[in-house]
Amino acid sequence: VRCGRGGAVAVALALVVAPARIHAAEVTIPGTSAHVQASGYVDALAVATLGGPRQHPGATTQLSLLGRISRQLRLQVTTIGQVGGPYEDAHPGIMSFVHEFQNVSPSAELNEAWGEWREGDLQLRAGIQKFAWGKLDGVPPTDVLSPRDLHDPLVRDYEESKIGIPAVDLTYYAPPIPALALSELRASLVYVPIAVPPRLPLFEERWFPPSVAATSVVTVSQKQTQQALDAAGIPFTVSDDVVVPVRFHTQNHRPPAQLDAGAIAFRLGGSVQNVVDWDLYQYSGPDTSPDAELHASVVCDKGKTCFTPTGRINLHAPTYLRQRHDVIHMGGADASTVFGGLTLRAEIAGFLDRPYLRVASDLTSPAALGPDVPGIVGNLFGDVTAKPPRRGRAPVPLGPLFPKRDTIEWGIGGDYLIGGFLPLLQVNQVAFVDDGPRELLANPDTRLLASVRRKFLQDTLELEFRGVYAFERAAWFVYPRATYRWGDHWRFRVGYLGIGGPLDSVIGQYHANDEFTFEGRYAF
Amino acid sequence: MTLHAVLMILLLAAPVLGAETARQILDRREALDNGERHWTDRHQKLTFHIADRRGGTRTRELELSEKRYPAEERKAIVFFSAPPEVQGTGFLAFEHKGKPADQWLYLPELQRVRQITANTRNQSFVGTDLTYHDLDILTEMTSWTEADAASSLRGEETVDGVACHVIELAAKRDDIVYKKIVLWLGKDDLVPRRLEFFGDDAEPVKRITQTDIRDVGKIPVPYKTKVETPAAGTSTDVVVVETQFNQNLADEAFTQRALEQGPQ
Repeated sequence: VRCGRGGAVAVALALVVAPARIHAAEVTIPGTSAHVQASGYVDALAVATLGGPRQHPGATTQLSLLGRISRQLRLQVTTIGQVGGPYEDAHPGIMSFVHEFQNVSPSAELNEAWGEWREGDLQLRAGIQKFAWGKLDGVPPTDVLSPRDLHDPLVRDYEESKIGIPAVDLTYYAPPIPALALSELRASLVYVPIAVPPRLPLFEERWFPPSVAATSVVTVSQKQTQQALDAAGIPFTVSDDVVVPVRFHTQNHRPPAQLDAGAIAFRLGGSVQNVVDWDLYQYSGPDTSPDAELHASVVCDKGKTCFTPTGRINLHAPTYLRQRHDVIHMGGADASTVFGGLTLRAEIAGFLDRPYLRVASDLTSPAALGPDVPGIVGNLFGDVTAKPPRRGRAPVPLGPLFPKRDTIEWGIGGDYLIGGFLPLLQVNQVAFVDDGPRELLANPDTRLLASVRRKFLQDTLELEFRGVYAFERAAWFVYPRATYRWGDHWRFRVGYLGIGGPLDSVIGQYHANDEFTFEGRYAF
Repeated sequence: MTLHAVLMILLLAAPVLGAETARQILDRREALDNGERHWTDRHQKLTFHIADRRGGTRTRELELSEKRYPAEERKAIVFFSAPPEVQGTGFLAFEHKGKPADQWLYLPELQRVRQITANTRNQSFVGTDLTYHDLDILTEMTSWTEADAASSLRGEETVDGVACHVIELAAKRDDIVYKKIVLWLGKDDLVPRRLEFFGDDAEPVKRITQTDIRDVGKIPVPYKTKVETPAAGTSTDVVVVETQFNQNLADEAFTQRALEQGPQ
């Protein structure tokens, strides 16, 4: 949402600066027993890139106000302000709930604004809120309710990158059933009235997927072009292959503003003898992971003639990566238990019609475009024989960039506390259960997540290593980091993000984005 | 031996025979804890001031609720209110006799309740000088028998002006990491004024000093506790801000639901 420039700057900067002036406080509202508690943080992140696209130093602030009005009623408001970071040529503004591509900095965002009413075993929470489903580390397969801001997808903490969505969450806490050794029973029904998409990086940004950007040039062979021209009756002899530069743009396309375009979600959870914690999930609604489609056309270059006397054709292809909305269905389950020092967690989710990113170059390969070349050429040059020849434009039919697929996503992992170290190993797999085009994910796509943490010096120093390896694609990333806590408010963090693998893989495509990270956080 | 000599020996030995043994003192203390000082539930607000060897300090503020159940089962729930980085963090434990506790952790940044291992005995409790094992020892030491640790009376000393019995407990169980624990029990109230935990060295590994003892009902509560680790040069001051006993805390206050919802 672009508001008045001055107003937006004021709001955004206020949200960036104001928390730094505020200290944690708990205030009792005079004449009542209601308390309001303020908390939050100011976080600064600088990145030293190692040859890849640049990223500006950035700052993020979060300010939370939690009001305990009575035993039944709680209110929470959380705002986030951001400035700098991966954005390029951004404008100040307030983050929108409905746009996937937003280039806003300084920005302000209402991350949470909900009211919660508890009455006996019932709890009703309504407003802008975030959800956390699943038990696995990393990206839990069942955690589909809240979209994420993916402008900086690997360094920013997973939960901190979540976007609040308007929702109504009704939860019933059922009494234990001793006969079945069941306790902690809860059933939640969630209604999300409008679709809220994730926020994706723009083409100019560091974390725009290079696998999509790699289709920045399309080449059509001389032979294929000549055949198409001949078939269209266009008297021109092509001297060489036709190279068409692709000019990328991103385009927002807001989701339908209809109540039935929202989501319905259900969760049933509990514990068996307080030993095995479990949950069952069902979700039907808009996909909250990245989803977009390519709209491409070819046009003659402005200011030039389409056909040159040397037998060349001057063309370019404006291409729009356009926000898209698909409804998915997910059923899932998770469980966790403890064996001695080992904590085990497992999760499985079955998806219907979930969009997954294709290998974008497959859409523009000669094999994919070949059958369409005659039609494109016919549309493009149909009136080229006019005197003078008129510059044409022809749409390029491309297949879906995010075809809808049916998949099973599952994972199992465990951590074991030994000698103060907490190593964690987790395997995740995505398996496509229907036939479809080649995706950026392999089929199956198996990943190993490994991490180990250790605290030193009375918990003031923490060393952590985290890494992911995707077996089939041989792609990986590592993110070792050291965190030092100074006093009660400051945290300093230094890390190194290393990424490797082929371009046609979800992780490996960012292999040019290695970086050192330096973060300082003041929490209040 | 003449009758006179026997009488002389008995007369000389009388003070010794009449004195309490360490075991008798400890049993008296246990009887008090199980009797007039008994509590079924407890709610405390505590502040930990953690000092490093360079004098830097950090603070932890928490709210602890505990409830005792039959068969020596115990449930505890802890909520951290400061510093900001751990604010909102919750910890739930169901402790059972003879088997590991069931434990859950709620981290506000994850917005999830996570089951965690109880295999934390040698880990520092939230960065303080106390390990989880130390906390277990302090909780269960009152009910130790001679099979757990052999007791001996080392005499009497004064700690902060309070006359104390000095009792040495030599650990017999393998799971107690300390070789011995020396306990200074107030002679009048049998409240520990000082505890020293020893390993192989002559210097204690940990030294705990309890002061500002106040009665809450009939239960004496040390409002100030200092825990020192002499070798590391670190210390933790524990200040009791508020204590309530036997408030009939509901079982529902010790659930994952309560952990998620935070302090009431």
